[in-house]
Amino acid sequence: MKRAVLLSREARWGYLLLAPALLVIALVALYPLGYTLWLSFQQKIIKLPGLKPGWVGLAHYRELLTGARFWLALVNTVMFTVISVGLELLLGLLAALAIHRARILTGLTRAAVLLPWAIPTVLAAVMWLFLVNPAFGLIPMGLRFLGVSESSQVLLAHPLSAWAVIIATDVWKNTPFMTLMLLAGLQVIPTDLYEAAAMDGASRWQAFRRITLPLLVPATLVALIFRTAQAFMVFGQIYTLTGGGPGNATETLAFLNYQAILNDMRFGYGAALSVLIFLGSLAFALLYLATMGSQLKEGGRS
Amino acid sequence: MRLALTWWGCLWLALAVAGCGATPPPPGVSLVLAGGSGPEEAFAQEQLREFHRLHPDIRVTYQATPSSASERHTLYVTWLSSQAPDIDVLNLDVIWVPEFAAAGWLVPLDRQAAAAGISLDDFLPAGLACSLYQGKLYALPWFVDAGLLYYRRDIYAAAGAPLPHTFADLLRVRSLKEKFGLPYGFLFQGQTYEGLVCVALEFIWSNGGRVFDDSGRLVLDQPRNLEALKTMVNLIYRDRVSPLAVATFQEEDCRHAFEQGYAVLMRNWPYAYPLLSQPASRVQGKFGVLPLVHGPDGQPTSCFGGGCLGINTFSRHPAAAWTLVRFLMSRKNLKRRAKALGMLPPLASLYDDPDLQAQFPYLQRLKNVFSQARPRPITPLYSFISDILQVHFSRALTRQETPQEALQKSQTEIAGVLQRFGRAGAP
Repeated sequence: MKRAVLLSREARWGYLLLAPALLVIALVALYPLGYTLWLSFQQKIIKLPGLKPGWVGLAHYRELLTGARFWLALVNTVMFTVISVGLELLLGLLAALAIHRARILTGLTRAAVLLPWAIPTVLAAVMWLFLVNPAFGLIPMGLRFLGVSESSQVLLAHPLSAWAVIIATDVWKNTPFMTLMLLAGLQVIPTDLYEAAAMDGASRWQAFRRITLPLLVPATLVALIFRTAQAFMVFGQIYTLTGGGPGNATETLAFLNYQAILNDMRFGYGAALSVLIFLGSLAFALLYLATMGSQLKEGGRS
Repeated sequence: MRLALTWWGCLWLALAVAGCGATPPPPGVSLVLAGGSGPEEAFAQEQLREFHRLHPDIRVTYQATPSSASERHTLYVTWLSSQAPDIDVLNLDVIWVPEFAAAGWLVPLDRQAAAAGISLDDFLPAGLACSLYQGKLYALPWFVDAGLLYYRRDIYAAAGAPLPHTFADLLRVRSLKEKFGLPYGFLFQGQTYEGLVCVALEFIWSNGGRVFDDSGRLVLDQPRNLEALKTMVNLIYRDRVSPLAVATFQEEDCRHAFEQGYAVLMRNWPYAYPLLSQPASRVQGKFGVLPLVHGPDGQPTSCFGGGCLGINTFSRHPAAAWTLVRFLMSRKNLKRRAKALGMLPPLASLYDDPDLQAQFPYLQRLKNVFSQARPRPITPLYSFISDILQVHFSRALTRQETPQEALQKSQTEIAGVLQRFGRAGAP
């Protein structure tokens, strides 16, 4: 009984101390979210003030969900996210393992690996734009050397090769982030585990499978959540490399949102799209927590 | 403690000095003029110095805005939709005037123009058309732009070939390109952006096609338009006159390639002319300009572009703002601006000016092109329409859909926009 009172008093203190932080979260996260949701039911196009603003209910959601452009953008966004984050994870893991084992020039290699990540997205995309320029770019030059037809050398004029360029730009730029996160994860794995495994006669592959990979899960999860959330919002590469083209073949949800809000100034419609993007990001986050989170807890317990 | 005291001392001292140094605001009114940055800003500052000498009671500050048209548009809409009085005079792209006029953001200028004795008849007709909305004048054309066909004079002379005038002539340029070993025949702007709409509309208009007919009915899906769009697609795939690369090109990509001597022909705006004539250009003295090519059912019709000056409705000093507009619009200043920046004047009579003709030997040809040029659909909904056209024209150029599908889908989607927002101002 006394214990319960004590606990509740402690809990009350706890909430009181937490209150300022909760208030800040409510102000900077919940309020904009709620406002966006409310706005998504409104007609608000600031460049057409003659159009009376007002409640339009689910009209914006209906317009989005029945339009081909939204669905293509959704498929594009999911496809881009899965492929580019998958490649970054794979390449990042390989790079992290290599750097972790490196004994010479460690500082230099780490700095060199990080370089692409330090370049702003738009600049990185502009560099790739030069690389794929049909007149003087290095990549079309190589393709010409290989005997690829002239029209296939124009990578940004075909939906599939345009996507390949966008994904390559993203992988080139963001693999270092993955590497860095995984390298940090590798460095906290105690070496005595490997010594014990070696004593027990485990092969290096077994040690990698049974020690390195499971203990990397927390770092991987954090890196994946960061990268997925970012990839789901991909905009800079698209804006710089293709402008959504050819046609609308490389439009993503964030690009459509930019079009809706900054080009068309349709704030209500853009808000509805933002709500759908938020739900998509949330789905990805929950998926990670469901699959890897349980593993994370088990890992922590054992 | 001593450090803190020193800090306070410095602060008070600074405040005191600032207080002594502050001069009372100058008498009269202050205005803000918003326009482009870079050379445009430098030249405007020069003009403003003269304006200050002539009108000591008006102080004008220049507000440089982004050169990218879409970013400048976003900035203007942000200011004006919040009814900001800060900017008095705006340099507007011609396609924004109906949108801003319908929104009530621009001061109607009919009365002032009449009182000042400004003759509207001297303005190039397309420029005037862009400045009018529902019969009222909301801006004054400041400089004009229209699509031109740049050609390699040396190649045509060496081949003894007739100059291209029709779609059919254009489709035959491949032999010329191969004979002289050039990588490209004809270059145009084909990326998914406003430039593509201009080029496609030029092909459509030059074949007698239309987007809206005279009664404002949407007539995009029609045989003449289809023929025009098919010609653009054939240029790339069937007749191999244009490289597929044009589907990724904007103005500067075309200009660079033409400047390197890679192409026989190029569609571009007049801005490229002085740049191609510089010593660093490989085609210096080897090129010329022509009106655009036309189809069997039409006459060469360029897309009209350029800028206007308008006055913000929320300006606190509309009378002073008008004084500034009149100053900038004077013949002398329009001429000086053309000479300094290569931005061509909106007044037809200035094209006969010997001084300007000396600097721009192709001026007479430009006058003809400008007087035949046509504005893009004049409606506050233009940007929505353009967005749809950009996507479908680009899809047709990259063979993601046929020209027929592109026109049908654009027609349906634009009809949807007109139905949804038509109340805000149909064409």
